Amino acid sequence: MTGTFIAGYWAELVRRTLQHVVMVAAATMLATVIGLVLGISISGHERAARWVIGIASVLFTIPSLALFALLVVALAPIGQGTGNVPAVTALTLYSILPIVRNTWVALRQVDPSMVQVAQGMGMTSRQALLRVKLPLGLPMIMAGIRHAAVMDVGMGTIATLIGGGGLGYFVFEGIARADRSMVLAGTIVIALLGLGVNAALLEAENRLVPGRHYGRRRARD
Amino acid sequence: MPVIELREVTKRYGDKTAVDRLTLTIPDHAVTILLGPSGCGKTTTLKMINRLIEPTSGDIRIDGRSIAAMEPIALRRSIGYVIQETGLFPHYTVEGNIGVVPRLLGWDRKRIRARAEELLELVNLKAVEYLDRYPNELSGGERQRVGVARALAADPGILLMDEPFGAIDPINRRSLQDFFLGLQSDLHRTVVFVTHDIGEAVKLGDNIAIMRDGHLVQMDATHELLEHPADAFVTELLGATRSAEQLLLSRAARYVDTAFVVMSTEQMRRGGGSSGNAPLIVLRDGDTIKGYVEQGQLVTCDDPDEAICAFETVSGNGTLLEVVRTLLESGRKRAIVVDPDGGVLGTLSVPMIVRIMEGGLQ
Repeated sequence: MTGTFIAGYWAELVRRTLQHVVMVAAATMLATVIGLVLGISISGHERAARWVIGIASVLFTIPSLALFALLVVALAPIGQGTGNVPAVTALTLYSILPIVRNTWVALRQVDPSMVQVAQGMGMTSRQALLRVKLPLGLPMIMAGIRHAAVMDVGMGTIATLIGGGGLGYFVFEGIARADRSMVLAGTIVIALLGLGVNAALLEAENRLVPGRHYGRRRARD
Repeated sequence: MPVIELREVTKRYGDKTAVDRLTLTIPDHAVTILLGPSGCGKTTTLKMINRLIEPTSGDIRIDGRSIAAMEPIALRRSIGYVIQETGLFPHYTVEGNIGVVPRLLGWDRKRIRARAEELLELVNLKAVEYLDRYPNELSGGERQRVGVARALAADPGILLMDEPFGAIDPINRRSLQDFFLGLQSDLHRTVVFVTHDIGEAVKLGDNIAIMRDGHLVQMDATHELLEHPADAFVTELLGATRSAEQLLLSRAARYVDTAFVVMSTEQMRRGGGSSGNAPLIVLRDGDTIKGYVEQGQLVTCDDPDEAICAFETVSGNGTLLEVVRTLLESGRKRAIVVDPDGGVLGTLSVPMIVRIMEGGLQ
């Protein structure tokens, strides 16, 4: 049954999957930039860190449907009350917490002797950050980004309610029409998308720093 | 090459004084050990030399120039820095690690690779085999050799070493110490070496500065320190070292009998031997050491060749214990002590070593 549905709605499925991907990608990228910048700038500033992570945590606890609705109201005056803008904004706001938190923790966790050696060899603090701290903290930072992206795939389902498009259409429309195949098709594609995003980001992480697997990479060559 | 002078250097953290009015001159081309119990301020002192820590007051000069007036980044790039084996960057290959400072200095790739190859040969690691490896593919000893190679990358005059062999098992530590001594006898860098291992200090140090509670207790040439400890603290600290076993682990080069002359066999046959004042003649034709002759015996022999004694050669970096062992096993009377280039440093015999120990243990 679901198979027939997918066959019948193929073009629509592809179109909405792409919409979903674009929405999630935009939100994750924005959140990554904001999260990294915030995470790096609060590292070493205990008070600032408590504030930033506190605020991000509060954002994170707002129920997602409520946040979408809130943004509709908030962005209406600039004519962006519905559609992509509030959807991407909401997803971005949610994604900041895991990224900023993981970046902060990652930089804190780097072995202090590594940082000291970097300094002792004559790296500027910027060089020590880019050449030592970030690469060594990368697995943890990437885990935060993956967490955010996978969460966005799921949460992006709601975007359809405010005209943001995406795969949520099949789920909500399917429920409204009591069309089990439609709900199932949407859910399966969303789940697969989540798995795919996770796998793609893992692969990206492996390539980003060639020595990430350190010794193990050699064995594979 | 640089001399490092510390003048009235003090470092305070709040109420606590880590280093208290330390005045110390670290001579060039030599290994100076900072030795003392943990918390005595030795690591703090080391880190003030490359300005990882800024002194509260006082002045540190390198070659007469105050480092406070230098740019810290440039200063650090001109000083080699080695810490415990954790010091290699795990995300860089061996080549990447050796290339850290050269890259900071803007060398091009080819030059960095060539330098890395050269340095790996210097530390006895095959370049082809090691350049592309990551630190976790190396043994502890190999990592430390790479660590030393990395510190030497930009050819610094000064090396700061903070317990570099501390995390390594005793057997490998000994071979790393031998390796380091061999390297230093080629390179003659100004080395400041922090350790709390007294055996290591005695073996590696040309000079030892003993610190306690942020103060300098005594700074002297190693043998001077062993023979004339300044006070009860130093005596106690060196207690184990002054025992027979520890003395036997001292470097042979430090105790050799230097009353000898070198000449060729030909010169000796022509009667050159009887003219010198030295009691001992070491015979050497070109690069080959032929033996030695005791002045006294030469007179009683008709044929000078009969007076030539068989000998053993030992490395000046070897320990007195090794000399004793070599002599006892071979049954020879004397060992000729040579430096890595084959130069004759002097001679040693078992009775001499016994006398050295008697002197050292008093």
